[in-house]
Order: sequence, then C-alpha cells, then structure tokens
Amino acid sequence: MQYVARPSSRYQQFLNRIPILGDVLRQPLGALGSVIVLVFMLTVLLAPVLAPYEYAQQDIPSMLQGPSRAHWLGTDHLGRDLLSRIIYGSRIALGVAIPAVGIALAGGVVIGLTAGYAGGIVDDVTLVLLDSVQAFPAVILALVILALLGPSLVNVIIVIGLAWTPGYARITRAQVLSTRQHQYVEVERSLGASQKRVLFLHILPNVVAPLLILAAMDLPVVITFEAGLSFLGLGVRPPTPSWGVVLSDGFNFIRHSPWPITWAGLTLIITTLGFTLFGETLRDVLDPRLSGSRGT
Amino acid sequence: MKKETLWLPSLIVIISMLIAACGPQATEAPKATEELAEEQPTAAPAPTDTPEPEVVEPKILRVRLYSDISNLDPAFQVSENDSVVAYAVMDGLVRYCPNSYDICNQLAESIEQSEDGLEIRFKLKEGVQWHKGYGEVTTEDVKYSFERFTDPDLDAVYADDWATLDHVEIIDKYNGVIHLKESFAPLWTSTLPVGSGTIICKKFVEEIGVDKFATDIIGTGPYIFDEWKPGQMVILKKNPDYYGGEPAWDEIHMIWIEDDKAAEVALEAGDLDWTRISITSVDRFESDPSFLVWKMPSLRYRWIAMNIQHPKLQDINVRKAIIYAIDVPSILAATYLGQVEQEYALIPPGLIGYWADAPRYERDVEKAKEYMAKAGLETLDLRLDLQDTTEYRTWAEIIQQNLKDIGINLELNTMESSAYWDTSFGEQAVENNELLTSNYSMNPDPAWATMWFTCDQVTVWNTQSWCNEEYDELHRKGLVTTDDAEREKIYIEMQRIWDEAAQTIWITHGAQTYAHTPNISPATSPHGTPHYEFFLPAD
Repeated sequence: MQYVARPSSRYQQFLNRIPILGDVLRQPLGALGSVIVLVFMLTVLLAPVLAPYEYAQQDIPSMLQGPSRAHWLGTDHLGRDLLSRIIYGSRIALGVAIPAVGIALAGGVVIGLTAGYAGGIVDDVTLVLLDSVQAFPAVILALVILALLGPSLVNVIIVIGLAWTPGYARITRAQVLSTRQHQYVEVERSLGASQKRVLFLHILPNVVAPLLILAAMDLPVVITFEAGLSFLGLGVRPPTPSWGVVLSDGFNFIRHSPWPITWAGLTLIITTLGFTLFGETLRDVLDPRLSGSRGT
Repeated sequence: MKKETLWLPSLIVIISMLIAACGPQATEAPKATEELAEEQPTAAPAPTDTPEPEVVEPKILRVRLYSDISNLDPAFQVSENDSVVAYAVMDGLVRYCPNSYDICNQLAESIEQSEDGLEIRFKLKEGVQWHKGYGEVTTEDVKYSFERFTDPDLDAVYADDWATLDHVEIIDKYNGVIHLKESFAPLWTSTLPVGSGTIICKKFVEEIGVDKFATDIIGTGPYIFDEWKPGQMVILKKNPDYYGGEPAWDEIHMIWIEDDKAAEVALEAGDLDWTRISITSVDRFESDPSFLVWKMPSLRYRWIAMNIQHPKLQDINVRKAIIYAIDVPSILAATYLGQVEQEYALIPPGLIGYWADAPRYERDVEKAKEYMAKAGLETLDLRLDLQDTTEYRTWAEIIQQNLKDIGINLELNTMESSAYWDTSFGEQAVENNELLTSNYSMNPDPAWATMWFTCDQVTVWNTQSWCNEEYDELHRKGLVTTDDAEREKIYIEMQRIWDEAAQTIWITHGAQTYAHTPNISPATSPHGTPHYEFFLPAD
C-alpha cells in the first residue's frame, strides 16, 4: 500500500503558523472554546456599536416585555433593553476578571518566588500566611473585605485579586523549589550568577507556563464570582449592568418575566464554558502530562 | 479518560436531569403509595405492653420581621418591628380590639374620661402578674409608665404622645386618675391604645436600666420575651399565667427577612406562616390555594426626603428642580406595577386633615432645568440613601435616571436596614443626609404624622431637618383641639406650609399586603399592623 501525503489545507497552514493557539484550535473543544472567547472579546470591544440602546435608558411602559423586534431579548423591570445590558455586562465581566487575575498573578509570582528561593523561615512564614488566607472560603473573605471597604468595582477587583493570590503563590513556590534543584541552575550559581539573574533568567521562565494555564482556568471562575457578588449587591453600583445585577433584578421579577434571568444565566453559562474549554485545551497543549485531568 | 469521552457522558447526564425535571410532579406520589398499600398485606403491629408516650409538637407561629429589633421600650421604639414584638409581650390599659378601631380594655377593669377631658379615671384588674416573677401590676407602674414620657432626662422620642400630661394620681393599689393640663385630641387614637399607652414594670426597668430595657423586656401579655438572636430572630414563649386565658401558641418565632421577595420564597418553602408581601405578588398568592392574602389600606407614608440643612440642598431652587425632575408615576408603575395610588401630601385619605387639593407636581424637565439655572448650577453630585430592598432599589434607579436628565449625578448608597436606621437618623443625619428614601408607619391620628417634623425632631426623626415655627404652633394647637372640623383646617394648613418649603417628593401611601398559610387566623389593626398576640390557629 502506498501512502500519499495530502496537501495541507489553508486552515492547517494557518494553524501551523501560530504554535500554541494553533494546537488549541486543532482540538474541537478547544476550537469551540476559542470561538466563544473570541465572540466575547469582540462583544467587549464593540459594545457601543453592538448595543441597540444605551444600557441605562429606561422605558417604563415597555417594562418586563419578552423578546420582540424592538428588543431582541426583551426588557427588564425598568424597560431597559436586555441585549444592551448583557452586551455592556461583558465589559464588567472582563473588566473585573483580567485585572483581578492580573493582581493575583503578579502578587502570587512575587510571593512564590521570594518564598521558594529564599527558603527557611521566610518560606515557613509565607506558607502559614498563605494557608491562613486560603482557609477562608473566598466568598466569606470577599464579604468581609467588601463590608469594610464598601461595594464598588475597584474593591471587587482588589478582593478577588487578594483571594486568588495564594493559589498563584503556591504554584510559583512549588515550581521554584523544583527548578532550583536542576543541575543547570546549580552550575549557573557556582559560576557566580547573581540571584536576580538566576531568578529571572532561569527560574521564572519555567514557572510561566503553569501560571498561564492557571490564569486561563481562573478567568471563568472569577467571572462567575463577580456575578455572584453583584447578585448579592456587593459588586458594581446601579445602573452599571453586571450580569449578576441583571440576574438579581430578574430574580426579583421572575414571576412576571423569565427573560432577564434566562438570558443573563445563559450568557454566564456560555461564557464560562468557553473560557473553561479554552483553558483546559491550553493546559493540555502546554502540559500534556495533565491531559484529561480535571481541576487544578 | 480522554476529554472527548468525558464530554459525551456529561451531555447524557445533563439531558437525563432535564428529562427528570420535566417528569411527573412529586404531588403524584401519595397516590402510588395508596395503591401499594392496597396491594400489600398490612403488617401486624408489633406487640407492645406499654404504649409509646405521644410526643406533642409545640404549636409555633412563624412570622417575619422585616428588620431586626432596635428598641422595644415604648418611649423609644424605632420601627414596626419593635412595636409588634412589644404588643405581644406588654399590655396597655386599653388597646384597639383585633381588626377594628374599637377600644378594648386590657389591664383596665374600667376607664372613663371626665366631660372636660382633663381627667381619666381607671381601675386596674386585680391580680395581674408581671412576667418572670416581678409581682403584681399596680397604679405605681401606671404612673411610672406614663410620667416618664414627660421626663426631660429621659428625652422620650414619643414625648408628644403625652404632651399635655400633668400627672398620674394614685388613689390606691388599683385605682388612679390621669390628669391632663389640657384636653388632648389624640389620647384615644394614638396614645392610650398604642405603644405610648403601654404599662411597663417600674421595678424591672429600674433594676436593669433604660439601656438594657431596649432589648430585654417583660410585660403582662400573653407571650414572654424569651430570646433575641441579633440579626436572626426573636423568640416569644407562652405566658402560662396570662390573665386573659391560655395563649394560642406555645412559641412565636419572629424571623428577620429583609426583602419582601425573599420572605415570599420563605413562605412558599414552608418556613413562615405569615409575611408581608410586595404588592406585585398579590395576584400570584391570591391564585394559589395554598395561601390566603390579607389586604388592608395603609396609613404608611413613603417619600423622598431632602435634607434642607445640607449645603447642596439649602437653595430651594435645587429642591424644586429635583421635585419637577422626578417621575413618580413611573416609580409607581415599575415598583408596584401600578397597583397603588400616588400620594400628594402627608396625611392619608380617611383621616382628619387629608388634603384633597394638595398640589400635584408632574415631571417637567424644562421647568426643572430652569430651577437648576436659577440656582446657578449645571451639574450637581448628590447621594441617595436607601434600604437594600427591591422596592427602594427600583425607586432609586428611576430617580437616578430622572435626575441625570437635569445634570444631577446621583450616587445610590444602598444599606442593610439596621445600618440605614442607625445612620440616617439622629444628630449625624443633619450633617450627612442628602436625599433619603423613607417611610413611616403611623397611628390613626393626623398628629402622629405631623409630630415627626417639628423643630425639636430635627435631630431625631425629622428627615428633612426642616424647622418652621408656624408649623410647630399649629401642631401644638392640633393636639389640644377636639373639634374635628377645626382640626381638619389646622392639619391642611400645616401641609400647605410644608409644601411651600419644597422638601419632599411624595410617593404613595400604598397598601399593606400579607400572605399566610390557611392554618392561621390573623389579626391586624385596620391599617394593617399585625398583632401577633391575637393570631389564632385557624378552625
């Protein structure tokens, strides 16, 4: 039997040109996740163009209507267009998720690098502190801090950043402990390389991949968490439309119109599904040893 | 397991759950059980020599408080949540009879007023005991209970309820006379039959002090104040020695649920027997055979208060701009689905002093902008304080949008109800408050509405921090005028003076709407305040 190599399609050629993302897109679920994430990103960027109405524009006579030509997804209890509020809500979701994960990532890397590299008492104290923070369920920690600082978008970002930092710190520390035993690090050190050089040139690059995976996996969790805080009235202030706020408003009037809660819930489900599929596929691509395992 | 193979079983599980969710209702289960019982031979009962003692479940009434208790002392009660607890524990000489404005004797064996209205002679029922072994109720307690309202050291919030009290004369252990300096029109409407007419135990209050009495009370009523779990509930227990016969319930659990919608869910879940519900939910509960709906006209008044002592609101033009900018009919439509009437002044229909011809301000953005221009303002940042309930959040978001149209940026400061009551009233409120959502319950006398807005109430309940001497003088006159026609003129004039100050946006008197399970027989005042001491199990 003679095998004939099939010429690769343009799509395949395109995938070959983008090393990591290409591998993600080759997986069907990864491709689905990527499409959802892409649509979400475009929604965030093009919200003012896509939204048919201003998100706070009220039209009381049209309140609690179902989907119609004028309002594709219907209206809420103040006659506001649900589609516009969900589109603008994506900005809050991403606007909280990225800075919050960024804070956690940056904080976690600094703490983890310091603890892992310094070792000894510094490591011990850091571990105790991280354990203390992680001992609190994230929601309780968030409720306490928001009760002290007051509910606002910035405070939500800070709270989520703080609550998520220990996870990044632990992974960084573990990677540092593992990497610094490698022979090439020992050699570099014996050649008189500075601590800074060893940390940033040899250890940090080895930590980046697992941290990126964790960040990708955390984004949907943080989006849901923000929606939860906003649902409880601890997130953004009216009339800013977080998905959690749309859910909360919809919950109060669910007997009169199921549409607000339906659309906000579906949007949240699809977005978190997209980010999760994308994150899991990215993890499989970057670290095939973890392929098929769930959760981190 | 590969990811692809995990995906398929997950999908199957989700679809199975959906199919299960769409399956037969759980209510069909009893039928199946009955059928099974017919088919299966009945098992013989196990032989027992001594029957198991029958466990009698305590009869518990579970009702809702919409806020935690703040102060149960009749001289300082804060909200209806305080008064409903106090009513069940403490008695007065007289009270309103259940579901009516007729007066029924409680601790008074007899009570009558002299023709000139200056003396009220009473005789106490003999042998009535205070809870927790504090002895018998005597005229000494009556004297202490009423005269403390006029004690400047106590500084009672409800001092006006006894504004013309001279003293209480003790004739003997059971007989006494209440002496008034002047006749007092609200005596039989909003003093003796309500909180300010409550008899408290002198020995107990002097023993524990006024501060502790705020959250630890005894009385002579059918229920004993047993436990307060702050932020959760109040538990009342049956008073086995109650002079009026055996109370209907072993315990009354008063559970704090702030939001109407959450309370409705609790009622449907079987966690409550009785709760206030939002007006928008009345249709739903009326069409559900598992519940009964209790609707009463409300004397409650709801308004947006503008603190006229705040620098941003001192200019009447700013306040008029706000009044003309706010669309009250839209607030009513969105919050109450249009099921309540708009109010235009303080005193509700049906009471002396109702102002039928009160001015009606309709939203007029151009006029509002003109007033902003007169005030020399193009933009203004303001804050609206509100309780965190669906009702007030809906108000607030509409007001925020309305004011944006005239250049006012409104920050919404949502507060849990205890924080709201603690921070929005009192001396600090005069400096801090800007706009405030508010609602007060009242007793069926116009003086009980006007009394909170006199000058001496500026640091207490006067949410607008508004002081007008003419208003105060008329209020005093209204208290001692017994002719209804004359009182009508007085109270309308007071509302006219109020209106001129442009300090309020009136919303609605609304209606009191409750839902309950069919196993209870409720009792409220005619204006809808629940009286749990009169609640009975349904026949």
